[in-house]
Amino acid sequence: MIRYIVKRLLMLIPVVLGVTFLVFTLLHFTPGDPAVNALGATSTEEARQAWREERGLNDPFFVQFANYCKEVFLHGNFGRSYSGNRSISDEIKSRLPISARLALLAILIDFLVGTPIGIISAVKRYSALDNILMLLALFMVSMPGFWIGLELSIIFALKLRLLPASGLYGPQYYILPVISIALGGVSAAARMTRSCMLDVIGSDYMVTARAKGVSEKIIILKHGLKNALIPIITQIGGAAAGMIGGAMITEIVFSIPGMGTYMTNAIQSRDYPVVLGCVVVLSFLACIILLITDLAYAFVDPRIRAQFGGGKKKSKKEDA
Amino acid sequence: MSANTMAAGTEALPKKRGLWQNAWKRLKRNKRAMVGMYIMLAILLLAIFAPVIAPYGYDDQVLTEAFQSPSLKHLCGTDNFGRDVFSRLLYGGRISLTLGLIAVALSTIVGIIVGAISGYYGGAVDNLIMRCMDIMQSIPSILLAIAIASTLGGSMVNCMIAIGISSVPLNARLMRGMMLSVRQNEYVEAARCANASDLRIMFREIIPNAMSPMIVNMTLGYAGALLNAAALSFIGLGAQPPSPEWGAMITAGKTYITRYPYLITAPGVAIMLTVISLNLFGDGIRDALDPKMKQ
Amino acid sequence: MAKDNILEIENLYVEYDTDDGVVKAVNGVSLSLERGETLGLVGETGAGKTTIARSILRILPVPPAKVTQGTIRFEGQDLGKISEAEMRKLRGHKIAMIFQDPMSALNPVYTVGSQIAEGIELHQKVSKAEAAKRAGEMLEMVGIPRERYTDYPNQFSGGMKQRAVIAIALACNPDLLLADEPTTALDVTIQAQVLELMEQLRDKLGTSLIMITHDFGIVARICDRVAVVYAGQVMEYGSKKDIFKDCRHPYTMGLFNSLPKLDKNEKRLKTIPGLMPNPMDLPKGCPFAPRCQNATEECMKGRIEPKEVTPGHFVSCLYIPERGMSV
Repeated sequence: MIRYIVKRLLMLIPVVLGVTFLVFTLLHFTPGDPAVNALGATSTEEARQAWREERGLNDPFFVQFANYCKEVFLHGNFGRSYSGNRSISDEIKSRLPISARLALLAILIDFLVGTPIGIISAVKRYSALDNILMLLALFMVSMPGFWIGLELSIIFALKLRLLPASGLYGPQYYILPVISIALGGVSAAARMTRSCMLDVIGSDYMVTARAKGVSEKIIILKHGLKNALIPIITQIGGAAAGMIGGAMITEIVFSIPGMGTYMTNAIQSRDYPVVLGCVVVLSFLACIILLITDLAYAFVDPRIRAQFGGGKKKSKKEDA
Repeated sequence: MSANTMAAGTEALPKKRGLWQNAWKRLKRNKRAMVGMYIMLAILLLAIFAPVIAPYGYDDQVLTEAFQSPSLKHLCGTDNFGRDVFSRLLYGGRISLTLGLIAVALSTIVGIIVGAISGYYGGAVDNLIMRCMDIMQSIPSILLAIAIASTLGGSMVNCMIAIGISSVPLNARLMRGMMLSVRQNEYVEAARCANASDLRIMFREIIPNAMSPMIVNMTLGYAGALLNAAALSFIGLGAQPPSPEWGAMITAGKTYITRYPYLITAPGVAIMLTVISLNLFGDGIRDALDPKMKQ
Repeated sequence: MAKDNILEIENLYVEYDTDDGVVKAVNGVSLSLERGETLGLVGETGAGKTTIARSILRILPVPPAKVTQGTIRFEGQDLGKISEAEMRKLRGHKIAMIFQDPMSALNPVYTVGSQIAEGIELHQKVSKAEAAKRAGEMLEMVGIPRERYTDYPNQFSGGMKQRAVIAIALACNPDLLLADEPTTALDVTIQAQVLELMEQLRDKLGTSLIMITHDFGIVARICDRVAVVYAGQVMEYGSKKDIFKDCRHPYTMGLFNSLPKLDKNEKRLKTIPGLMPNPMDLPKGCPFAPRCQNATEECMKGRIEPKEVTPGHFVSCLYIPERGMSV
């Protein structure tokens, strides 16, 4: 198991470097002169030249990339923003916890609410309950997350005046944003769980368990769920990583001072180092979620564990 | 071409035709899928015949009639410039649907090419391509689309490209997987033994077989593309405000959310209905093409 | 009933309701099994053998499967009338089943040992530790070292998996064991080992056995009585001697004729012409009639009831030859 974790951690390094390279390259070739953007159209050519020199923008592309990586990975320094020349790392440090908290709360809700709904639906398949739950889930996954946020704030903040709709000054401020981020995920999780459970319910080992005289409830919860969890975890993990993107957009709806708001403002003011920093950090977050997913997967599935486990059990198999 | 290849080729044909016919039969029996298909057709017709159906032009400003609530005269009310929201929705449908379609087509075509090359040649080529796909996939697709769109600049065309490119890895991976599994089938072996060229094998034998999961992916990907396009518009990287694109309409309506919530509700419902119909239809096709369902 | 029958099946009908139509899997099967005896159910793939076994245990997938008619009595108790909870007490305890495909019959995410212990814990009301101990003994009984208790199924070879499946079935020392083609998925050499193991255990534990197979070699080796099943109906039913030395049904004869003979240098296997009828559209009369050389108009008219040709030897055919065929 430890070997597996180490291996997965090592595999993260090229991915993280690759992600940084990809986003760096993309934003590097943005048309337009960053110096003009930062200093304004009225600035002198000398000032622009000095600004470029100071930021190393005159260096060859690969030198710039190497310097960027060095700063980011060794010093945790994402550089300075074009507008205002502020430290991006400081901004990220104060905003990341907010975004991460929102996203993780939503992921937790997805898993805790979506999975049981999916199981119930699968067990009572084709019943009225199943139909209603799945119809609801279908509606939820088919709405843009930010639109759900807008509608929720119309209903609960403007009409019913129950909950605050913007800012982040206490626990109640989390409710609407987290719900609007999570709704789509809960439904997606419920739909995935249902189909994974249905696959498992038809398998031979379920019949074996039934033939042993095990009760239907234990068959589903013990024999079925643990097997279904393997695809469920993979899929929910993937969806959760993807949800980070959606969460950024929902932040804007509720004016939450997180990464999403920061990034969007930067996009609008063409402040590319900020966009770069944000995308890189959020992608790290997504990679970490995927890593956790993979580890959870190995925890549930002995076949994966055996692949990476110690040599002891392998030698046993050989003499069999 | 030797007689053997011909035999191998024709042998696979009746099976394929049977598969599609059976799939269509199963699809027709699936009520949800049919509901999805009819909603989709209705939306498509409304968008195509927008100039005929729409009571007003999408850009007809009647400032004296701004912010009218939904009524018989203006089914979905009017916006801040007194433009008829319903007419704008119809015209917007043309933009949103085209945008999604082109994005999906782009990602499918690029995905097929990349995945086919990867799966067919294997080895180092495969390794290199798949590692690149890994990297693209570890960035949440909307973030990748944001990065691409902000490089290219906010516009409709760039939004399509951004969304299309960001979902290439999914299609490439699927295509590669299909290539690997189909490659092992005996009739491909047979074709190879009969000295059929690589390209011929690829087009005649493998791609038609890989088509069915591809179609499922396209339908569900279309739904995803519509949602992502709306999100990009919302942060100013998609269609720009005067355009009646649905996401842009929500963005424009956001300013007036406190007093005129119907301005964002109408385009949101339009997106939702379209996505629901695509999801229903896509799920239906997947079930119909899934051999497990045959039992 | 003079004899001590552990199982009696009377006029059993099972259907599967699928999207494409109603599949008639079992059509009026009547069988009985004496305590301690071994009954072989022989027939082609899709003849309804597995469905018969699963309807005894009431583990058919419902829906689409449905028992439309007939009674199954186990030790005199009508299994169709008892509650699900009572049925659960019989399953794995009094009646157990060995499944065809050992690769998928074991749950991949639990240890083999715990899967054997599960039934013991459930039926014999013993502690976890005691159940584990007995499960270890079961493993040894089927020839797997006790140390492999904590292994997962993926660490077992195919033959070992089937042994484990047998251990699960025999864990509570059932009175009736249903073995559904237990050796089909295995290599020929492993087949022999598993069969020998089953034979030993049956004799040691005195279990009654229903052996489902399409292999006459297995029948000849371990069965006392044989039922030849075709399209969900019993074509011929009798003692092993009746079937092998005095077989009367054209289908049984066809099956025997299609076996390769070692003493003759045959170039091609003899086959029965035609295919099994589509179970969604069975012929009205004898299901074998379309393929039968002796068939007449009369065979197509209605259901053909079994006739007792010699005591205990039943044949469902209108034209039973005076003298049977011997292999």
